[in-house]
Amino acid sequence: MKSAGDLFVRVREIALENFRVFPKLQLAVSGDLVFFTGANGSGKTSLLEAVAVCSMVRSFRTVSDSDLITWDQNYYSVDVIFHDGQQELRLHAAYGRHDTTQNNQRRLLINKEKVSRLAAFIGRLPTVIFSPDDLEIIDSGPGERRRFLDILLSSLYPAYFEALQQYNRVLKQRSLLLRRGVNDASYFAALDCELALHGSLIQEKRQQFVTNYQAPFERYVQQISHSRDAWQLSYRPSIVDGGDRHSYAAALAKNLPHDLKVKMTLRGIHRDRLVFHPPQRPNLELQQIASQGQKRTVALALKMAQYAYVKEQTGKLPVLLVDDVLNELDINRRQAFIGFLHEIGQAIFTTTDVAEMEGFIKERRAHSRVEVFRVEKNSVGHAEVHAL
Amino acid sequence: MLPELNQVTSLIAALPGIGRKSAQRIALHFLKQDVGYLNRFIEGLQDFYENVVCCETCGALRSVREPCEFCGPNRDPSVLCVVEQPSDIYAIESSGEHHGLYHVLMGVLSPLDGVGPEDLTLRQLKERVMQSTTLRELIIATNPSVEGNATAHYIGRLLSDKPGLKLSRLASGLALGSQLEFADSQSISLSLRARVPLET
Ligand SMILES: Nc1ncnc2c1ncn2[C@@H]1O[C@H](COP(=O)(O)OP(=O)(O)OP(=O)(O)O)[C@@H](O)[C@H]1O
Ligand SMILES: [Mg+2]
Ligand SMILES: [Zn+2]
Repeated sequence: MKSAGDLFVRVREIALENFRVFPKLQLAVSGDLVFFTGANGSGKTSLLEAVAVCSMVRSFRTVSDSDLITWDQNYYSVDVIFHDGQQELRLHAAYGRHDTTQNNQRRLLINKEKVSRLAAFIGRLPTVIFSPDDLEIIDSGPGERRRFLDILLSSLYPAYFEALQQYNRVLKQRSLLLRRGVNDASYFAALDCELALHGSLIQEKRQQFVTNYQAPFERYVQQISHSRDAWQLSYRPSIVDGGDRHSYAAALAKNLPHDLKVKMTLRGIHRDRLVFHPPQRPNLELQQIASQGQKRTVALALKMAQYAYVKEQTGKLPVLLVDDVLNELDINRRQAFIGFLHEIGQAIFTTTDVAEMEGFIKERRAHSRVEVFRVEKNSVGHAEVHAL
Repeated sequence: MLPELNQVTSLIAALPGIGRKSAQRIALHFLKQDVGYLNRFIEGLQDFYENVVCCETCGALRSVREPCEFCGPNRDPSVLCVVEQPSDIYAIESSGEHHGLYHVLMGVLSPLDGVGPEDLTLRQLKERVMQSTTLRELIIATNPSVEGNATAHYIGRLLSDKPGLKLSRLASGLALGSQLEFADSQSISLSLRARVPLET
């Protein structure tokens, strides 16, 4: 529930340059429930993406930063001004180059001051994104769930993010040695020392997260399904007692002969698994047994619980970014979602069909400041945004 | 662009920390100088290139005309500081905290960059340490990067059979992934004074 103590985070302004379909945009935002409406391909999701880039440095849609640069341009920049409940902050994230002789570079500023460590930028603007792709977290391989975990924990704990960066770097070094068949136990021991240092920290944080996440997750599953469904979340680390640095390193050392044989590092946090299963049935996996509808319920509960978790950890009400989701929910899930809106701060929605949303918008006007924008492509194919 | 200007600009832009714009400015600056300046510049570079070598013992830079200043009798032979590059010695010296000897590794272990143990001066380090009768402490001052840390662990294991040798590591006051070369002398001094036993 929303408690009086939670700080209300509000996006106040979005300014874009060469970002996707927006060569230039300056948009003041004042609502608590903000709707971007418009036809397919008009640029709605891109606006959410811009906010996400200032929150997480990366987009939720693409891995490559150059995809975000307006075609035939050299760089993009996004500015988001927001109030975090205590003070106003201006974030600036830019990527690209001045001309084609240079390499692409990233530039991050907080209140116009340069930030050189990504970890100091990520998560300053807390957001939680709901998108149709959320189903993949549930329904794809373990890599998607690790990614979900990593992005979430990186935004909360700078040390987690840095440990992950370092871990991946050592892992790459180690893979190369394995591939070359270098059989030097001391060399591996030296690398494993570093892997264990970062890996154990990551494992400890993941464990902690799953423990605290359990309760809100189960509660939301119950709420959405009217207690018809029940699922639990389990963390299955690749190294059982790997929260401790020394056990972690010992496990790596023990597995080295095997690693050398297959030329891969088989143990470690990059092989951890996050499993959804029925209560008391840890061997059944949701992916194999749940219906489409049940999976959707879990995907929604997962995100609601993420919101609750970030709120609890930061004492702030993150900005909710909702891409297209509302139209796709059936009546039960839609009701649960609307109930959930009472627990949150600012929310930004995209929808193609504002007419279908009218009832919802009217109803919400009684509770919050609603603001509706129309996103349109102009004659030259650039997007423009008008208040409705 | 003029091909001559282009060529000189490219040469200068290849220097560390110099972009193409500054490179062009520097190139045009040369053009405005008299020929005497240019000759002094070229001779100075040539002399530097020919007469500065690495010390056979510690790897520090020294003049061919002089013995190594960091291996001399005025240095404390009970402490040895291991660094990645000769330039790191100047960074440590600027802190004024270390009066002992040095050993330059000439890099760090990094499979991704094709650098293995045999590409560093690790064998020489082991010999130096094993033969020394005065050495009591080894301070490993590789950069606090993934590679610097792994190299520190490697050295720790390499020298673990030297009786009575204390192995220590710079305290982590330096930001993760930062470089000694660019740290201010104040923070180097702090991390030297608060150095910790090497964890293995
Ligand atoms: N780098 C880019 N430069 C220019 N245009 C781009 C770039 N990347 C994507 N686009 C275009 O931007 C348009 C808007 O995309 P966006 O996904 O934001 O639309 P949308 O309003 O969310 O559409 P939908 O309702 O279908 O989800 C698309 O037509 C797409 O082709
Ligand atoms: Mg969209
Ligand atoms: Zn010397």
